[in-house]
Amino acid sequence: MPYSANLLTLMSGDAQNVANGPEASEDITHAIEDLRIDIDKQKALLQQLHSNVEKNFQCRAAGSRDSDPLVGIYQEQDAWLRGMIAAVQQRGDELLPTNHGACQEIVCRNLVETCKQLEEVLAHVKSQKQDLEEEKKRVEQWLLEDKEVGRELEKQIRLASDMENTSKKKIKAELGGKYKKAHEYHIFLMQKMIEFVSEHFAPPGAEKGKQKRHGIGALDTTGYAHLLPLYSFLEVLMNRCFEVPHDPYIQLSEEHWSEYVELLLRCGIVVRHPNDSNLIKLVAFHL
Amino acid sequence: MESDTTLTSAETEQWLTTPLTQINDGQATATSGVLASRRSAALRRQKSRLIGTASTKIGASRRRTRTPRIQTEPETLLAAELVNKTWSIYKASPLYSFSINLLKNYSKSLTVELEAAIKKGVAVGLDSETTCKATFSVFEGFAYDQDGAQSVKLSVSAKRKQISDNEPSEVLTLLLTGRMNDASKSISGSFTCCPVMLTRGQVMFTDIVMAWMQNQFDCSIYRMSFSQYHLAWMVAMWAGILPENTSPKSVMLVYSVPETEGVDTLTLSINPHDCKRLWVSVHNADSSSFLESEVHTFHKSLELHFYQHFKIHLSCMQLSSIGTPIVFVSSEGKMKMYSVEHVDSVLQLLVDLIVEEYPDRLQESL
Amino acid sequence: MAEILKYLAKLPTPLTAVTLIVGDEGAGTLELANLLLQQITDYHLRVHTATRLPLPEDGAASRPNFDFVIFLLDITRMESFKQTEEALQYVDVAYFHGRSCLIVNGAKKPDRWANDYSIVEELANAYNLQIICCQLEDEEDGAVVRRRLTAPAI
Repeated sequence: MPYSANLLTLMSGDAQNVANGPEASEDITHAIEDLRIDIDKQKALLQQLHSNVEKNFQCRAAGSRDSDPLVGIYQEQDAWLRGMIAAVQQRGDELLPTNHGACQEIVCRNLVETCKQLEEVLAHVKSQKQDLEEEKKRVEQWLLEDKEVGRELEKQIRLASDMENTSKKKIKAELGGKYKKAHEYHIFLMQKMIEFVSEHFAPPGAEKGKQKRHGIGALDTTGYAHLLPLYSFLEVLMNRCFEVPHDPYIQLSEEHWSEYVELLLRCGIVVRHPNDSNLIKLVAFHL
Repeated sequence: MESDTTLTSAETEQWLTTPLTQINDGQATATSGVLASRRSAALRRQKSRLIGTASTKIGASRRRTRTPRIQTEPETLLAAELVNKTWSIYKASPLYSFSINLLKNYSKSLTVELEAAIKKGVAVGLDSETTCKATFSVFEGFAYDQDGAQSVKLSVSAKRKQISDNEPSEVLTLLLTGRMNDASKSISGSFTCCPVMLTRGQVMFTDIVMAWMQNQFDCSIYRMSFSQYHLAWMVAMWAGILPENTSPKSVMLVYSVPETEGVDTLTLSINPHDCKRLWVSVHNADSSSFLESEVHTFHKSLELHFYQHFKIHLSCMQLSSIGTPIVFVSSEGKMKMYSVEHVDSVLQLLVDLIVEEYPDRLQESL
Repeated sequence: MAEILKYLAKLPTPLTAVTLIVGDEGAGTLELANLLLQQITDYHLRVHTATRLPLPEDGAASRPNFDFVIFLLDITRMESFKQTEEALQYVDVAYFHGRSCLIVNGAKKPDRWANDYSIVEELANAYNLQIICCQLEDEEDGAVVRRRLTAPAI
């Protein structure tokens, strides 16, 4: 019964569609008339069936307390399916009206609509395709640029690592050589200084050629043997200057001959500590 | 230390065990009567060790003064700490690498964290002159099976530096319980399952401590909330249990009234003895499980009664908190227990509720 | 027998879907009705609401045949559940064959549920009803529900 109701709906719908069409030719009006007659027949049939149903079939509440509602529901489903099968087998497919003209009209209308929709889809898809192509071009461009950058970076890395490896050894060798040279020159200078100083500023009591270093144990103030020769004095001052740069002062003691101290002070090579006169330090007199 | 040895000898007495509450597919086992626990040798040893070392901290000092009484009723004493106080309930996911042996380390680490928080100025109402101390200790009384799984108690105390004779005041007490020993065997061995966390104290400390725990043990801790459904169960199960000693409190149901001007809540108080009679008539006295149908009947009868007198449909409103003679629970996760004997059943119910929410794989292994 | 909501008591109206929403007061029947009416459909849609079944005898004559019945349940109140259970007793078996469904409102607030969800599920399965859970106050949910209910069956 619901099946016939659906059919009725469809048919009346179709009739409406056809009737509303702009081209209502003779053929069409006949078709409409035929359809109307069909509709009335179906309606009458429907009423009959409905009264039949009302008389014979009683509705049952699904939720009765004594039985499981699902039983009733499934029975109903079962009956409905059987009815559907029977109806479909009986009816065959008679959905479209038999009139040729009406049929044609309906089919044409449907086709036209479908074509329109497909055209819209086509346009949409085309625009999407264009967008995608542009996107693709852009991305390819980026890819190329990135590759360039990558190549350059790799080159740089190779250069840097090469430089590292080779220059390390070179620099090491260079530095080693420089250090050696500097050391030799230092020794040479010191020698020269010692010679010069001991020649011109010999401590008293020291004979030429006989350089005697003062030992720590014997402190003989009477003689001149305890005095530090000038070059050791200078050496001590220089070392102190470099080893302890924040406190380059040397405590004056008996070893340091006062004449030497005086000489150095007058030449401006050393200077006394402002607070303590027993401390002296080397100054940069060459500047 | 001598008092400690007497303590351990008391524990060797045999106690009864009764079935604990469990919810499975709509059925619940209710407890009745005194509960107890068995102790293992390891627990005894640990307890004496901890009491010995924790001599300067508050938790232990309480135990010390009460040791003469411990010989008779150890459980009621320790459970008494829980009773008659309002606790906030939090639920915790399994803790990773939590070990009872490292409690001291945890105490130190947490103390450091608290001090840092105070210095940062996060703590409201406390200046940098306050020192905090956190103490983890084992809280006995809630062993769930033969191996004697323990609960852990944390107490945070704060005191002001300058006032030297000021006693440190406890600002936060936190109890981590419901530990189920089986879990540590089945889930990869490094997880400890302590689903229930009860706290009492200042919110700010609670937040700091919980953040620390979440960092330390890789767990998540959330506020527990009870739905109407759970509250209804609780009322039905426990309304009929009247503790023997004290006069029982009345059974209370608090409903929140929707969208009415001037009326926010509706409180329904029922005489506990009447409740007991209703309970007895609803519940099948022979079976030890509590059925969903019984819960429904209980509530329906209450609602009908109310409707007859006041013409108000209670089922249209939301149940927001319940009070029974043994416990008061609100939907936001606050709980107050009145009866010492039933502490265990209440806690077991909480554990079950929380474990229900765990993912299925975890539940199966528990 | 006249109490039971009978399917096809009258002929169905062509090109119209007549819906009945059965739900307790406060479950959100009016909201749901408004939601449905906002949907644009190819066919006419008429919505009736009721708080309980059976429907009163008075308006029986003017009432059209109902094509679809929606049972609306508010899970945060026990009352709603009870009413729905009762209402399900007074409906023709034919309606449970794809012509009804159960909508559960209040699904997004599990801390306010008055009932375990499994109970609701049981009820729905007993009557072969499809369940839609939602929170009708949320706009998104409402739109989803609307679309599901009025979507043409494929």
